[in-house]
Amino acid sequence: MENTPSAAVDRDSPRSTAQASPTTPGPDVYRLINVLKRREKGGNVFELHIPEMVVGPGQFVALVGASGCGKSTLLDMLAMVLRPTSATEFSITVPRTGRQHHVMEMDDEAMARVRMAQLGYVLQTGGLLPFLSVRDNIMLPCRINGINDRRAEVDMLVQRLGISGQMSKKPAHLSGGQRQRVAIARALAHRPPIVLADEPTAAVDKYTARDIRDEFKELTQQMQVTLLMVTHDESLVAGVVDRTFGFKVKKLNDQHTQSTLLEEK
Amino acid sequence: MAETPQKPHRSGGIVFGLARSDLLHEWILTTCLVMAIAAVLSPLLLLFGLKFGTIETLRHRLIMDPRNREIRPMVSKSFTRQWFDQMRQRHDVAFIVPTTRQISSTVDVQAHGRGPKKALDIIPTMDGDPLIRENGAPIPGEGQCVLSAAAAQELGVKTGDTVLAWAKRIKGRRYQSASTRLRVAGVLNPRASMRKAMYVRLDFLEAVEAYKDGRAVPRFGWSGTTALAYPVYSGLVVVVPQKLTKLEENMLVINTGFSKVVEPGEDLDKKIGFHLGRHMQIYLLTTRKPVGLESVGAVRGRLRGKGATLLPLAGPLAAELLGPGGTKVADLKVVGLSVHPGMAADLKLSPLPPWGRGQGSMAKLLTIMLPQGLKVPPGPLSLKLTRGKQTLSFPVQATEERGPAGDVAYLPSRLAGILNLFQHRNISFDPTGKEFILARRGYAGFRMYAATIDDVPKLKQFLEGPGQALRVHTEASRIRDVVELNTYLTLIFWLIAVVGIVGGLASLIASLYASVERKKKEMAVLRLLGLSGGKLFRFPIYQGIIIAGGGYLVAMAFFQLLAYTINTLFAAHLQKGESFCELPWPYALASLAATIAIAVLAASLAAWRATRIEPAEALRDE
Repeated sequence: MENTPSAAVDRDSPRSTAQASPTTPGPDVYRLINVLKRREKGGNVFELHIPEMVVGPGQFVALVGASGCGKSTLLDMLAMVLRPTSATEFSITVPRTGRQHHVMEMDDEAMARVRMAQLGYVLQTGGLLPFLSVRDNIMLPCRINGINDRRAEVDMLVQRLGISGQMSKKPAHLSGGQRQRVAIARALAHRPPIVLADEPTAAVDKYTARDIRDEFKELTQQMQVTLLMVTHDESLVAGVVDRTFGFKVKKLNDQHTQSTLLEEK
Repeated sequence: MAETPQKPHRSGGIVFGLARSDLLHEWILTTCLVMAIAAVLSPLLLLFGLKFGTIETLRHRLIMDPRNREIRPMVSKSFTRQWFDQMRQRHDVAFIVPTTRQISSTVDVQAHGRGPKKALDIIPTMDGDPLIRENGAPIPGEGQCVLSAAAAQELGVKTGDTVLAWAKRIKGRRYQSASTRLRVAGVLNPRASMRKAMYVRLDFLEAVEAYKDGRAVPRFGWSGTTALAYPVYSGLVVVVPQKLTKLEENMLVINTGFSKVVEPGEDLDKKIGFHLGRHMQIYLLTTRKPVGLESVGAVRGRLRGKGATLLPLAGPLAAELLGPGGTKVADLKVVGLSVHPGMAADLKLSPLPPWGRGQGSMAKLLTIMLPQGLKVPPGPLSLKLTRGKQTLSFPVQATEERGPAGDVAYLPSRLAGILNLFQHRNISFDPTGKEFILARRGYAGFRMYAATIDDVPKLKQFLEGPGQALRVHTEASRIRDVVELNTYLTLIFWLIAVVGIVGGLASLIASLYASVERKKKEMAVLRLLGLSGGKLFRFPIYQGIIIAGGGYLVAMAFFQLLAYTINTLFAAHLQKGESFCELPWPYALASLAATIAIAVLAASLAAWRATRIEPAEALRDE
């Protein structure tokens, strides 16, 4: 609340060069400074505090924590479907255009527009629409964005993920692993610069989970996509990701829980 | 604000496509919803269909039933043509036809002109008679009749057959009868009348009445006497050689029918329409209302031995001279003038018509002396007089001699006197007998129908009021029953309709609301993919429209099937243009619009709730 756009930009320009990403140079994709989300449910208060989270383009970032630590809440805020309670800065910069969006100043429509074009999202159980075929599910973000020329690229993507034989099936007829791969294909189909994944391997066995993780990483690296992945399984991401963030949970009393995001070095 | 690299287009189309795909995917559930809505709509449509069909038909029959609207006089009285014209002008009178006296309202009828004679009531009718029109028969024309169901059964005839109608009268001690053929133009529905009756044109009734009164009806070849028109005069010119005493003058107006003796002024010629020499004594007898020949005779009696000449005055009257084929030749003022040729010279009378005293048969008197200079086409001429809507025309022969130039034409005095009578009474010309026949003065009664049953009490009040002082019969108690039944029917319909509509509304809202609630998860995912709240809002609305529209179509199909069945089953009880179950298309469209509107409303309610939930929360609900 206390931050102003000018203050944010002033601080932004020297930082972005100083804290350049290890893989790709360019402006920070996410800049979260002093962000607070407070939730109250049935008298219980949960607070998520993010002192600083800055993500550069092309990075693979893991958000690791046990359930109840607020990692999904963070992911929702990053996905622009949940507004922070307060923030000194909360901005998303589109690498292709360099345009910076300040979430605290945006209305629902504007957030929906950014989400539509710039974000891909993989949900725990896929989040596929049961009434659309696999192909229609994957093509849906393109259709919503009015993109009609992605067919060949999408076919490639599908082939890489090994689901080209499933294209005309409905999601209900797929296995858990296939469903997650379809969700990944859908998240990447319209070539968003940022992809968010919420426990994408939680519903599959350990080996499939690793396969999916590797395919995901490979694809996002090739496509220069910034990938933020939430998981409770630290072993899944250890040694694979560029950066890892963890949560420090403090129970103030029976009704009040506080969680703080910290980067693990 | 935030830009987008590619502007999304036709997202409405995408949302509609998604809504449709979802419904197709869950086709079993969709079918259930459609059926649920159809189940609510079908009986409602049927109810409305019956309302517009059966109830409307019954209501209309009850309210418009001519029997309930009939007003009959309970007393015999003479009603003039003017009275009927006045009554026809009233907007609360749907139909009125004069009737003749009760005694002349039966005839004996033979089917096909042979076999036993059956006595039937004859009832007058004319164009617009609701009793005939609403009971499946045409209005009878000239030489036609319409029979009540009982009469047709009695005679064993049907539409298209011919019957022979006999009028009967007593002459001296013997019965006389005369007949004419009538074609049966139609048979009334049994509910129209229980009587054995024959509906005919009014002039047929008049003919029967005339025959019973001993008069002839040349049209049907029925013999008898004829009521001839007689001349009436509006004044009398008396010319005497010597001045009359005051007493003698007074004698001329006492009990003669004339009212005043006037000294002729300078304008006498103008007043009487011809010229008289002033060398003799001239008196002008005036009158308040036209007098007949007997008045002239009375004056003649008073002046016996005084060498008086009497010139009865008729005219000037406006008339049209018609040439061959009825083309108008000239507007004339006609004046009656007949005088003995010997007297004419003494009177220094001008002009001098060639017909002298103008006596003999009327055929010889149909002559006219036209003004000098009037161009007349060759061929037969006729003269036409008009009074209000009534006209009188007859052939005339122009004399060789011509009167003075101008627009005054001269007729024999007796003919002009008859035309004078036409100013007050209806006269027709009988071309076969070459006579002027006096038409009837008025009618003994009437058949009247009020415009609606609501007008009946008012009309009764008017007719029984001080101006008319009639006693009339109406179906007051039946009208009360009908009005009551109508009120109850309408009330019952609306009670059922309101319950049905409220139930339908509740069911529609519940079904659609439930279906949107179930779609919360999918809607959250769509929102996550970047569909804005506004666009997402349309998802359940499109689904509501599709489901409601589908439900309506199914309900309409059911309705059409049922309506067809009902109408076919009861076809025998329907009249032309009636239907037991029908929904006029504007109402069908309105009900579709209402269904869709309710669907949109219900879906909006649910959608509003669904889109208010943060997509994140919806996703984590599981």
